[in-house]
Amino acid sequence: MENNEKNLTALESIEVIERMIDNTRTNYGKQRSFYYLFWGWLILTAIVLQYALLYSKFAEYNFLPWPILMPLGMVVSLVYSYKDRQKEKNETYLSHFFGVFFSTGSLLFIIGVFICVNNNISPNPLVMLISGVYGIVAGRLLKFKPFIFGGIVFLILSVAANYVGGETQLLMLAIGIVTGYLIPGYLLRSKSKENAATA
Amino acid sequence: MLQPLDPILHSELRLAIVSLLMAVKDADFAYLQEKTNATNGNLGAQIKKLEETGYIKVRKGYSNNRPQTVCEMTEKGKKAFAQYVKNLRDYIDRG
Repeated sequence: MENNEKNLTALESIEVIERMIDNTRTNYGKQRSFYYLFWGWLILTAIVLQYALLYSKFAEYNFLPWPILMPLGMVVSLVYSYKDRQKEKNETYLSHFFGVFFSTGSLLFIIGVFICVNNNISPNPLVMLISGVYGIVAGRLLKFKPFIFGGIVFLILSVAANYVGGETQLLMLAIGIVTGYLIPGYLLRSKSKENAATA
Repeated sequence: MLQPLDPILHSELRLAIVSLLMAVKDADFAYLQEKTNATNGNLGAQIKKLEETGYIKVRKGYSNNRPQTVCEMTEKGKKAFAQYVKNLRDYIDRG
């Protein structure tokens, strides 16, 4: 950007504004895709392990992948987020809001799962409900429709899960993870890479 | 009736700086330079002009023993930017 006194047309001005704001959003999209892909694969692994345990001689311990993998995921996410903050010196309003929203949401998630488990209620519908809200909010903020679509699928599954048994709920959760976390996560990552290449 | 566009903001580099600062809480000189691809001198001159107009606030300090210039939008700057975008929309709608 050299000729700072160049006469801009109204459209050129809009393009400059969009390009600069997109620039900050692109970086953020790349960071966010990590969380969706990481958590997507982690939850899917927990589901597969729980299924495997259900049909093994250790069926009574089928719940074990969750209390082991989920805290591990939280530690990895916290370390990643800390390193990211060190690297990215300038916090955008978008990332600030995401930080507040997701940390409050995670607290809601942990307390909600605790209440369900303590009352012998399956936490799966609640997990799908919170994931659906996460997806829709993320999709609206990043202006990225695959997250909104995945969020809506999660919300539908969270209602439907109330009418099926625990094993079918796990299958529904797996479907929700693929449509709400993994597919949008990979699409966001590839879009961010494309934008970075053309920037 | 169309309002004239603010001449301070209606310049490619100054508009780019202000657009970036609208998205972040604050930004240092290196960040602005990386995002705008502007030269040191040009960026410094435009930051000074925006500061003199009262659209941005500039803090000079040190980070890791190196001088650091950090910029952030002022309320006056935010209002001017909002008005500029509104006027741009009017131009496009009627154009």
